[in-house]
Amino acid sequence: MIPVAGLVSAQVDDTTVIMNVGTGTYFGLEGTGLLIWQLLGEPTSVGDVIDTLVAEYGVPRHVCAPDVVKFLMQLDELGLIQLVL
Amino acid sequence: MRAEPFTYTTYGFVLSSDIALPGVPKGPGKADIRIRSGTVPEQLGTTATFSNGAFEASPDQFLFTVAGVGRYHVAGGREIVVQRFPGADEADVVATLLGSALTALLHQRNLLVLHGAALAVGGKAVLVTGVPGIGKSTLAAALSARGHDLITEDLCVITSDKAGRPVVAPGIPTLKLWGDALTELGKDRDSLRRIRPGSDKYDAEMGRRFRQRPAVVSRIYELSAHDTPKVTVTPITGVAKLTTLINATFRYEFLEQQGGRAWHFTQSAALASAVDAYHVARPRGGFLLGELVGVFERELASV
Repeated sequence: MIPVAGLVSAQVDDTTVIMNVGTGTYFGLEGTGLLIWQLLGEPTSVGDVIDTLVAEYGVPRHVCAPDVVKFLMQLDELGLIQLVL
Repeated sequence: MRAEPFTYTTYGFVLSSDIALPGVPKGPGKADIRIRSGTVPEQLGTTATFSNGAFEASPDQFLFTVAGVGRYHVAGGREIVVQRFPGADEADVVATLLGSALTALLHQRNLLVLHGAALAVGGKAVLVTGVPGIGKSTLAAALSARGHDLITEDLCVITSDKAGRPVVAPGIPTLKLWGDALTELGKDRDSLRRIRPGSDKYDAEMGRRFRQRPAVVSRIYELSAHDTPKVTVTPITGVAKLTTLINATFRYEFLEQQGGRAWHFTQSAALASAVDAYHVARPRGGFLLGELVGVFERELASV
């Protein structure tokens, strides 16, 4: 996965806001969501993202994985990331 | 021979116009923006990158039509040409010129234009936004009568000062108020000019209750009506602040179709970070001006 082209980002208070200027949709990221977003700065896989979070926070993989997948699906629905095969 | 155009100064720009703009401050200087009557093409032609029947856009041109009023061509952030339709009311022609057309031009200059009123509070500016009819003008009139001079109403044009702080430019020193709002404010409507014959809306000149200089924006209040018995004030933070500014952006659809989402996003985020924002919910049923003014007076005491 990588962020789609045509994104702009800005800081509002403690939130990083990302907009897809092609569609006009935007999304605010903080905390873990922001960390995941930063991991997507270079092409990465869902598995890599989960591995990093498990290592970072020491949470069990089966607890972390569903939340990560849900979050990435949300980013995908908003048109902020794309799958790279 | 053509008549000498009128020269006006408003929103931080000098306007040269061969159309009279009643209520806009006269002011000399080299024109930044030219306004004239003329022939406007029905379409932009092959340069158009967007067209939906109501308006057309290309990277530096904008064309729109208002039925019964006229057609407006806005180009390069510098010029507006107006073609009146037969029988058009001049008040409507000018209102559209100073609203939609001027906003499209300011978008071409990558300027953030919010729909709302700005009031001076201790040398800073407080903006009140909200959907049309929510009571921004009436509230602005009431607060100006209590010593908070009006900076602008309807269009809040945001630029930045040398220190990079967001400032709002002084606009037109007139409030357009409904007859019942004037009654509530204890003003005599008979002494005021109707915005057009037969209308129950009046031009209330602000006179000395108008600030002629820009002011740094310190707070934004978004006013809305809800099923609530009392007026409540809630802080807005993070991404919701940006949503407030996008909702308050005048003619956002114009700038979207002129490829303006990126600059608008950057500038809105900068403004959102620099100010405190609050949501003010007022009861849906009645516009309780006294209670609302009381809430605002308490709020503004801490600006």
